Amino acid sequence: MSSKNPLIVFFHKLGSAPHFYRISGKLIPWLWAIFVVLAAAGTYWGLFRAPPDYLQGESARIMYVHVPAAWLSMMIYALMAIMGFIALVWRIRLAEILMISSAPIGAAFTIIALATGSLWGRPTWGTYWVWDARLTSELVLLFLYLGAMGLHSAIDEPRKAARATSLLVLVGVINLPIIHYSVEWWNTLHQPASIGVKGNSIDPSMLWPLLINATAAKFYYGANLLTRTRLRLMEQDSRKNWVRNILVPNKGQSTDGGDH
Amino acid sequence: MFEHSVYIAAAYSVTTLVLAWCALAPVLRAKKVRSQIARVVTRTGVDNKQ
Repeated sequence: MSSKNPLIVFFHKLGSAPHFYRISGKLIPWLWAIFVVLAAAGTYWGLFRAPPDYLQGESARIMYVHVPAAWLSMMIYALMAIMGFIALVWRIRLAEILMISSAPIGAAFTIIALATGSLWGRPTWGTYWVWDARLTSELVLLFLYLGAMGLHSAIDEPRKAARATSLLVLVGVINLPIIHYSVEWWNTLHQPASIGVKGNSIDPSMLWPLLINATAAKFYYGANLLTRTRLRLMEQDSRKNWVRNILVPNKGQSTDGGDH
Repeated sequence: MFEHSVYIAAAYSVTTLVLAWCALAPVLRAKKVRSQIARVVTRTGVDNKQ
């Protein structure tokens, strides 16, 4: 019946800690390799092949790291909210771990977006920072990430910590449309989006390095997320046989012990 | 050199540093955790699965 569907069987197995640990261990080197190739190509193209912007000049080259970081900062938070919802409704432990493991990566991309935006703002606007709606809402996103990490580490029991953090993350989702539409809702110094579903106002010679770096950032997130999730699984299951079998094979007993 | 090259270099350096730190931190911690667990298992050798 439905349980024999290979896709369902695959996802069911993926929920098992030892199985996830084994599969992710094989995936991680590939994700890092793809990230390195794409990031090298996108950075070279953005720095040396793409033309300077007709208005902003050479400083527009900062866009090739700023924009992918800003996109990822929002995408990771949205994924955290989805995983938090799954964790709250279906109590899937792997979703809890994936959610909290995403937080430091999301915070890192938010820091990069804020720092590179600031470094772009100095030559373009004449200032490193303004309390503009886009910049302020992105800073609030950083505080949400830090708040989620702080709340999770403040509660000793991992599953209670994950539930509390999931709630906080879900409440914070309100900030995502605020960030996205801030440039339309308010009169901001930050420019409106150049790329959208209705088309884009950016030349292909500048669009391609941007899209390559944005894709590279997603592979970075995937590799880093799996690495962090494996670490948390190992820490939480440190007394279970599957972890002991991996670390000290001759001391372990059976290979079961994964839960969902 | 580019015009505003200082800002461009700073932006790419910040990005590289933050991404490198964020990628290395869990690897270093995993190394520590692995050796801690392995030490406990080797010392006790007990199967106390929970």
